[in-house]
Amino acid sequence: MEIFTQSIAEAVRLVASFDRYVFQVMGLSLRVSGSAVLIGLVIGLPLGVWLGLSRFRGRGILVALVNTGLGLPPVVVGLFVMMMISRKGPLGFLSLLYTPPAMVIAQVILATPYITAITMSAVGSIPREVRLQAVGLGASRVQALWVVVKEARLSIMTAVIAGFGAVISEVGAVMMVGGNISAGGENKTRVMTTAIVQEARMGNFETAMAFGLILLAMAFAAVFLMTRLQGGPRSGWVKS
Amino acid sequence: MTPVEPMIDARTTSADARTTSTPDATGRLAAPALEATALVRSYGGVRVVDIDHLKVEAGEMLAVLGPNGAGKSTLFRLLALLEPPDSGLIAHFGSPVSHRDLAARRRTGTVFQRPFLFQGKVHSNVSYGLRLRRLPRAEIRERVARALELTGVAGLAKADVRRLSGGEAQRVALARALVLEPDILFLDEPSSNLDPGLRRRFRDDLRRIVEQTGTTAVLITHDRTEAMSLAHRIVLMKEGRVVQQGPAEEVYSRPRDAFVADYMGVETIWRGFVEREVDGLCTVLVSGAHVVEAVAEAKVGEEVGVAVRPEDVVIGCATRGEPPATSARNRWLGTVVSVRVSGPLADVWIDLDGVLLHAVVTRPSVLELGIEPGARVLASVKATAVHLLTDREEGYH
Repeated sequence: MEIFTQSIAEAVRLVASFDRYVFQVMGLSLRVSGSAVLIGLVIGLPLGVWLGLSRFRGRGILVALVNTGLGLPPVVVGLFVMMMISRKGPLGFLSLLYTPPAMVIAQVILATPYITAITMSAVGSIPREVRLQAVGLGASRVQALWVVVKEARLSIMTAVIAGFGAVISEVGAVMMVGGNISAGGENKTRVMTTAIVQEARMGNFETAMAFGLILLAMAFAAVFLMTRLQGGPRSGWVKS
Repeated sequence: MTPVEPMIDARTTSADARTTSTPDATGRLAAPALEATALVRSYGGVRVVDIDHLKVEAGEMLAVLGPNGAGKSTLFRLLALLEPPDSGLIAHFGSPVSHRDLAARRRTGTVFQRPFLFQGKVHSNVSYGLRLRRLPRAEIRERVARALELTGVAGLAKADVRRLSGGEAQRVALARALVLEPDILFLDEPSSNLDPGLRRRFRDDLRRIVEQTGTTAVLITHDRTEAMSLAHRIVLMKEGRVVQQGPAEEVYSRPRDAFVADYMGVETIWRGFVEREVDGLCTVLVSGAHVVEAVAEAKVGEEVGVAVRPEDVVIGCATRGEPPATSARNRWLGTVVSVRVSGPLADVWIDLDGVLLHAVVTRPSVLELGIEPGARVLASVKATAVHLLTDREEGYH
């Protein structure tokens, strides 16, 4: 059991000493996953609202595709993005391979289905009359949709939390397209998850475990913060 | 004087139109606040709404009355410009409007059966429509306060909507629409979700507010008491079509056919043939034996429905031998079949040798006259209170 107590002590020491390496890795993790979730929100929110509120032919297929996206293996997404941006790939001219933007692209693909799927079911559960009521009070089409989004905001926040949780903890995609590069004291593409793999491979279990604990603490802090923004647990739709 | 354009501007004339729907200075009729022509809406091949013509004069409250499935709520969504009709025309104050016409929609306000308040405080709900209209903050504050005052929930401005009772929530919903000072207020069963006691108070307040503000209103309801107590005019719907429209009192007292009579609460409808007609006084033979006299227009030999309102039946004691103090032309002897007392009134069913007559009398009369099953009574009805229902098609429009 000593290995665990040692790793906890190591984690505390690394954080308390403001270890530059650790903070660089933590910072990149937050930047990459945070950007991915924000971009995923920009794509997934309108898409989810659209899929949740409209009825058209082929909607079923799109919904099924989105739900399938919830189970996308990160390593396959990483492989796909890698092939797209590798020198021979269609986007090779952008020279994105092994850069943080490549990692963001891969994580956007992973986070968007979460945000879309949860938004879709959230706005779908808001009574249709809410939108009609907004329209009846003089809202334009877009303003009425915004009312529905605001009514569903707690669930949409959940969508963001779920998306963030999914990408901050994945290792496959960032490893494939980022390459886990940290050289000469400068962190290029190493994030928490790839750092854990790296340290464990080198036999530094304490450091690996420390990173693991920091990752858990970060995920917890992020979720806690967002839950606080939600205003604590609330009942669902306003009673009539 | 310059000639007036046929399309008058809605907002500048609505106030004038409210006070007069009679010809204006130029001798032309002011445009109705709302007019719908040849309005059709189908769902899955079924015509849910099929209305030839319907209008609401400025300043009046129109009740659209009908049973469930009559197409009332669909009509509501069409009239309130919440969704488009398949075909047909809707005009506000003489100008054609559509659901795409945001400016027209912003001159209306809607209240639904359920309040559907947005999450947050009461005042942010009530100010919603005004904020959409980008009014100055000071004006919004002042108008919200006034609307909350008017609807009797002034003390709740800062309350979270989740803490409101059902009655309070519906008042806030009403304030949210009234604060817009709409040219036309649309109300879809606004009180049917409330408890009976609250419902009566809500109704009283609604009547007071609409009268006070002079708002033109369209009220959807399945409750004839609500329609009668609030509306100036009634449109009665059945299976998507208008069965009868006219002043509330007229629809109530002169139902066009058996459906209207039944829906408006006439329970006694007999079938009979017109035997004689002299100067508007018809003699109708019911079940081959009973003679009923009615002041009505009907042709001799025509088959008619004979409608008698329970409250128009006067009951006297048959055994006392004295004629009841009435000039009623119709006097029938019968036997009481059943008596049901509810509150201050009692429903009495009388068997007139084969046909059943429904009467409503006060509770004291029941005791005084000894009305009980088996008692012999004399029922009398004035000829003017008997309404003849003809099944002629021109009755529908």
